Amino acid sequence: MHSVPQGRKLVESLRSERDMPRQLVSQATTDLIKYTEDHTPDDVFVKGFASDKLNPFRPKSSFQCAAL
Amino acid sequence: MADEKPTTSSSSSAAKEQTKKTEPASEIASRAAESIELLAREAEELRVKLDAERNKLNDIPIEQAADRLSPLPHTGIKSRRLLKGHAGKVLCMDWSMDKRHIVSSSQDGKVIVWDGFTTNKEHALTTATTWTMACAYSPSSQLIACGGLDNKCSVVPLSFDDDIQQKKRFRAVATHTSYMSCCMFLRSDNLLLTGSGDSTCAIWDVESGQLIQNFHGHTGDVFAIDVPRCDTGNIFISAGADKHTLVWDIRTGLCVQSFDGHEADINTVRFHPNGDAFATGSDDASCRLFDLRADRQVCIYEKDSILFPVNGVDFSASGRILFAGYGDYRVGVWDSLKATRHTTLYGHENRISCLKSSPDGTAICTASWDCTIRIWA
Repeated sequence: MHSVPQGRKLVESLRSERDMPRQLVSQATTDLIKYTEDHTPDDVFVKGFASDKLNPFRPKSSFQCAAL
Repeated sequence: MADEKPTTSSSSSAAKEQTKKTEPASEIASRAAESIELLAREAEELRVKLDAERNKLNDIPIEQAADRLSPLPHTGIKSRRLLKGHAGKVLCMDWSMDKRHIVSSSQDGKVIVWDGFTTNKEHALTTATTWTMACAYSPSSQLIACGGLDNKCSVVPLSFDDDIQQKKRFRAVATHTSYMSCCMFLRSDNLLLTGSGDSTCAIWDVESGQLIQNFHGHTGDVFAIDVPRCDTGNIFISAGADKHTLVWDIRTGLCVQSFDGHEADINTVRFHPNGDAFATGSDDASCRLFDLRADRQVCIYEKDSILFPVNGVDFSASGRILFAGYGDYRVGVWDSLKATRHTTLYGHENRISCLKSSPDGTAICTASWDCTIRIWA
């Protein structure tokens, strides 16, 4: 802390941080788990593609030009 | 000054008192020093209370809450594309919202725009600096921003009629007093958010180049920034050499939350898709998950066998997987809820500098010091 205004700003933000409402960790993680479960059907890294053809990054077909 | 560190101990203020007593300072200066000291003491007391409040709510660990979930199935993720063309270490990359194009920047000052499907280069630009540490695509994909050791963030329009070798005109939008380490557009093509080695973040008007808001609060270099993807709030996060992640109110410029835990520099931050949690990666070889509502760290991803820094983190679409790019050339695939490492991806031949999921979550992209970029899907 270099100056009085800077110090005041810091104390002010710490005060509001102290007074902010907080959730139990179990509540926050229950929400995280619920979000993940709700969105898992759309997560291709977890569910995979219905067919590999739908994967935009499937192996390139031979006609594409990779040079340049 | 030691007092600046959010982790300051009470002994430092005592030491400062001693210096003050022996200093033959003017009355005004001594009054200021006295109030600074009072403020520092108050800040310290507040930090202790804050920690106590946070610890009260730490009831059940996430791994235990996630115990009922079935384990992650085999993912089959492979390296699908190899983008070659940079002559130096690739330092940063970003996806276009079209989920296909990628911009990357490198140590030799080159910025390349790639077609990720075909691996073709669409633009190769030379910037005004070496070590182009950051680059970003605008939401419309019509602009890119980049910068680094020039302390600036510059934008250049992309028009696909141009020849790829054509000289593009960069326009400086942002200027910091030290290197620009990270940048991203904020909701529109007209707002740029930057982070810098001068320990500040700032928002700039792209059109006029005017500073709209700056953010002071870090006590070391800023290395990473992120905004929630479901961006309805008015916050962003930043992290760096002071080992803290700060949450900022965009409108007021004030820091509204701060998170500690890491034991070394934080190199990367990324919001969870739910927008209420975020992951960090650090030189201490761990990734961590913090929750804004619980106001604390809720998970740590580490193993005794992992000793290298984490330089890039991102989530899969549901948030279940946390991808981490390491200094040991590998990508770690973590189950974000069970806090276990699921698999490791091999391919790069030097450290990974950046890792990002594509906008629709169908692929991840990694940039590396081996001069290449890989797309994994």
